[in-house]
Amino acid sequence: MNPADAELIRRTLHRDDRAAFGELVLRHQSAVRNFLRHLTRGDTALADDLAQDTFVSAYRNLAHFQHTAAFSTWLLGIAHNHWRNARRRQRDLEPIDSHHFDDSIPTVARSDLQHDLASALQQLTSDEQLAIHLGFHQGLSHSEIAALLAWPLGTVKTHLARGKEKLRHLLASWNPQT
Amino acid sequence: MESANLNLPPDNDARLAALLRSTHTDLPDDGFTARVLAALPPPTPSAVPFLERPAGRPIVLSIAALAGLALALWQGLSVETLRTLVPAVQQTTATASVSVTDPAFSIALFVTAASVLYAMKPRFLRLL
Repeated sequence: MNPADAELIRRTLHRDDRAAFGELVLRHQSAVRNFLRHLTRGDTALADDLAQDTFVSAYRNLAHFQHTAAFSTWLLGIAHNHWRNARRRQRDLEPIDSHHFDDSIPTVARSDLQHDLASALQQLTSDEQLAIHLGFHQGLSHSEIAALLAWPLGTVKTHLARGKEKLRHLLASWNPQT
Repeated sequence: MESANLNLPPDNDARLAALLRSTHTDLPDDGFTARVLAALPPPTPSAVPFLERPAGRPIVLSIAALAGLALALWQGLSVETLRTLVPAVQQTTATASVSVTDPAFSIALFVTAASVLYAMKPRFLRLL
């Protein structure tokens, strides 16, 4: 059986066990990189650079990790901070909206429904997209999303509800019941 | 204006949730973990690597204790010598307790202890 995250964290802290930390990275890299790809609107190179910074920060601050939240949620919080800092730096250079936008939808063949869903997601506001991503793709609870983004719980629920409502309308042709 | 209907049928909601989840794909590592490990700060070299081993510290302490005992015996340690030490220790303790009641001394002691704790914080955290 694979050791729990807590055991890997303990080994990293006590013995500076790099292999244990590597296992943590391996376990959570997909969630962190997906999250950052979402935030950077598909800029995979920037997302991976920020993901690397996220894990290095996590390593440096591992002793401060409170086991009250899931390790993955803590990592996503660090990733979000790194992205905000990067965006702040980037704002001085170019407007964020001019950033390349669209390879969040991979060009690989996908079903028509998935294609329509990806298009529909792009029509949501960025906050609604973020809430949907964290709630459905990352599987976070409402309170975890609220803690991670420093949003009131009601705001999270509103963004999720509005996002879903818009998606239902946009995808109505796929579902005769709507 | 956006719809205010936040109470849609649960069946419909579950279908949308399932659809959203189905679009999520796990990213292959593709060397990412190795890249992160290479970017980590280098391990802090130990001044005395032997002490980093699990049995290192007890062994060093035992050797030091035995060496101290041997030296004491060699210097003529006896029960009589120990008896003469007791009043001297008591006197030193009494002097120290007087010093501790001095506010300036207490503040200096506190500042020193706080400085040592702050300086050693990363090490203490690793031991916890």
